[in-house]
Amino acid sequence: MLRYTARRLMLLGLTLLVASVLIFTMTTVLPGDVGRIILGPFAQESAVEALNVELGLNQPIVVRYLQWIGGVLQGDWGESLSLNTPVLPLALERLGRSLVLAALAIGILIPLAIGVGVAAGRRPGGGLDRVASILGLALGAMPEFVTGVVLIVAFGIALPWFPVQAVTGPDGGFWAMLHGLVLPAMCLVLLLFAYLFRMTRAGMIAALEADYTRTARLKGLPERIVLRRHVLRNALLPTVTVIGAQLGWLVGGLVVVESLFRYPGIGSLLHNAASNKDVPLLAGCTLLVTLVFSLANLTADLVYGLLNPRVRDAVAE
Amino acid sequence: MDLIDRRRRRLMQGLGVAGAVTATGTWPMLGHAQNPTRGGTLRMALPLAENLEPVTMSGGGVIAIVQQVAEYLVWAEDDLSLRPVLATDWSSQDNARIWHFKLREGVEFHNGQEMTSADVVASFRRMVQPDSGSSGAAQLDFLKPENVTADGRYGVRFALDRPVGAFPYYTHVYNAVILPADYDGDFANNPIGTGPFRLTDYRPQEGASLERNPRYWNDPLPYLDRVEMDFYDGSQPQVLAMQGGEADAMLSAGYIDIRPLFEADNVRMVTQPTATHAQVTMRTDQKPFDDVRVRQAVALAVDRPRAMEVLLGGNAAIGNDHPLAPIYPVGVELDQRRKDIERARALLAEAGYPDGFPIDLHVGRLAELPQYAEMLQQMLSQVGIQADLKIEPLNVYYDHWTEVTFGVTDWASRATPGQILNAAFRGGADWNAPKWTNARFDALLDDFEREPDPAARAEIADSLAAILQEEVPAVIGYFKDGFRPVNKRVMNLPGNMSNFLDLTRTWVT
Repeated sequence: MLRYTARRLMLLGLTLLVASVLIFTMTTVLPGDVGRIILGPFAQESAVEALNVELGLNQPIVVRYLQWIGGVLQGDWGESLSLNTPVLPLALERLGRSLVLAALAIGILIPLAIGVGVAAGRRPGGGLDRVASILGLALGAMPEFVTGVVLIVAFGIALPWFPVQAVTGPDGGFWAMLHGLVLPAMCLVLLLFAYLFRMTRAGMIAALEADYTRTARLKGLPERIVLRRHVLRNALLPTVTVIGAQLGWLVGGLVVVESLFRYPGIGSLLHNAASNKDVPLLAGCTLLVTLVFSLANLTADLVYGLLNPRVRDAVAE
Repeated sequence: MDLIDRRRRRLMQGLGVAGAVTATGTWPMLGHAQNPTRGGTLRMALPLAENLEPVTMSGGGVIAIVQQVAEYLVWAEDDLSLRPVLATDWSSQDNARIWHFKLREGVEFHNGQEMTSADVVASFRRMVQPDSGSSGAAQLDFLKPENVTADGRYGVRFALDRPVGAFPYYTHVYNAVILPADYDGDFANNPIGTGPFRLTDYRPQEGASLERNPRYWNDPLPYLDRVEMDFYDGSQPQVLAMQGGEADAMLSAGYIDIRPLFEADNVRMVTQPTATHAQVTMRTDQKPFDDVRVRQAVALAVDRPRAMEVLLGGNAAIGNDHPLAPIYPVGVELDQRRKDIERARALLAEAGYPDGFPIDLHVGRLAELPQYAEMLQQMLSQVGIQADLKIEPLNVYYDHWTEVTFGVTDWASRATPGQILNAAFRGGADWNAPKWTNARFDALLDDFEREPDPAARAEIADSLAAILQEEVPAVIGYFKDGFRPVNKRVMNLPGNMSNFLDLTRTWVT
């Protein structure tokens, strides 16, 4: 297991390196001229060119990449072109916010989806199963800007229970922050519920029908132990992998939810960096998100290994 | 009939008759005038913008922040009169080529330093020097840095390259705020101005906090204790925040986006006629638009009243293919161009395009412009012109907007028509996207710029507009009203034709 983890960590480093090259290459095809974007459409052409030279944008992409990656390895992530501020502190602050939102969403989502999924899987075709399936699919098919607006209008404006914006001010405490995050987190839960619920339900049904479950029941084990030891353990395996992948998306892909609720996370920072062609900021943020994504997947694989002795034994060799 | 009524209304607003009511954002209160109260916090919703740097800023969101912290020499009011701010008096010599500004005495910067002519000279030189990156440098292309000089401790002299009668308005371009002479270029961390509010906190892409400047020269203003300025990514979150009462006012808004707010109980809509318009530009140096008949045919295909109704709910003044909007006191009177498909077809046939032609129409994704382009596509198809829409992100569009053969460009309102005429239609100007040159027009424009007499100016304006209407380097279909949705608890938050923000007299209940 230790060797497996070490190998996975090395692979992670390689992934990040490849990702950084890819990110840098891709930024060259982003539309627009950086100097023009910073100075606006009505600045003089000569000034735009002068600024591009000052920012070092006239140098070849390879030189710029080597300078950047050299800096990153020494802890200097460079300065954002459009915000005139160091990349690393800003990106870390935004990443922290995104992690808080993701954690809250996951904290509500996992018990809810797995609980309902297990209950529905035990009686497929039953009332709970049907209601949860239809509702989950309908909500999952709705884009988040629709569910978000509906949530805001219902629970922010018609019934003023929650603030419309996720961040109410710098002077709110922990509870005020949590209060503000309920609606955006619910929006994410509604979006992701269907997928996780269906994975759990399908796993439950398959595990309940499996031979080992019948054997366990036939040898007279109480239903509670059958469920915990044999059914759940097998049923939840694919679900764990899904959660790992979703966590990565929750941290980097929340542009819509973040702008709708005015929550300054790393998703909107990434989006704006891309539209402003702010390469150092974009590359830095992407690197951080890739890191989180890889770590989430690594954790999921390790948990998978813990739950599944077959994998654990295979990797321990 | 309806059109005439609207024109009359606009004329009156332009003269400041009816405009005074909407401009202050308060409807006349019969019998009980409310007195302003001190204190309170105002929360403004701003469109997301980067680059909080007065000299080079260009986004509406950051301009609004800077305008609370630093001030201009003068402020152009909604009725286009000039209010003295840091300058108390101004006069010109040599047919409006030399300008003297007398500065207000005893004004202090936020750091306690007194504002003097040295600061004003440094601020203007910083802006107009070559490669400053300021759009102010492009607009004040008649002013060389060395020609701004101090005239004693409280006087500044501007020697222009050519006479500009409306020069005081040019000191109100958004980059022209007065900063200390030793300003170090880092406004976000060292925001020093003379304005009514001090910037206490700036969070990139999130917002800014400002508090009352206790030493503001215009005591007892301002009334507000604090202003929270929050950036929003897109207009929908702003509309939701207005509905939920979490934002007190939006800086600016397009009609299509804010329709839900027209019915909201807690919102008052401050409307403002402006000269903001879209120019449908046609490259006069390229086929097929090198033939004036083709350009006229395009203009004749456009159903202006319909576009205004569909895109703006009728909240616009009709355009006549010249930028001399009804808000300007010059009051151009020309026959209104109307949709005339037959005439357009005949002109196209004369020009050698009896079956029309295919053409790419480029447009940036901004406000109602993509929808306008779609309407244009449909209208042009009636005369056989097949427009292929290229709806582009703004970054892409602004990278080539002066190069495209056929494009739709947004032009913000300016305090004087000369500012638009010079920038968009003078031969050889940087932003002359149609690449149109007309020697008679340029000569008339020089006369217009230097002419101090209003009647003579109006006469020249008529000729300028007539040339543009005849030559059609660009179709100008409408001048849209500006909207500023404001919560009813906020008093005296004025609209502004350039979306500038003045909160000195604003108060909350």
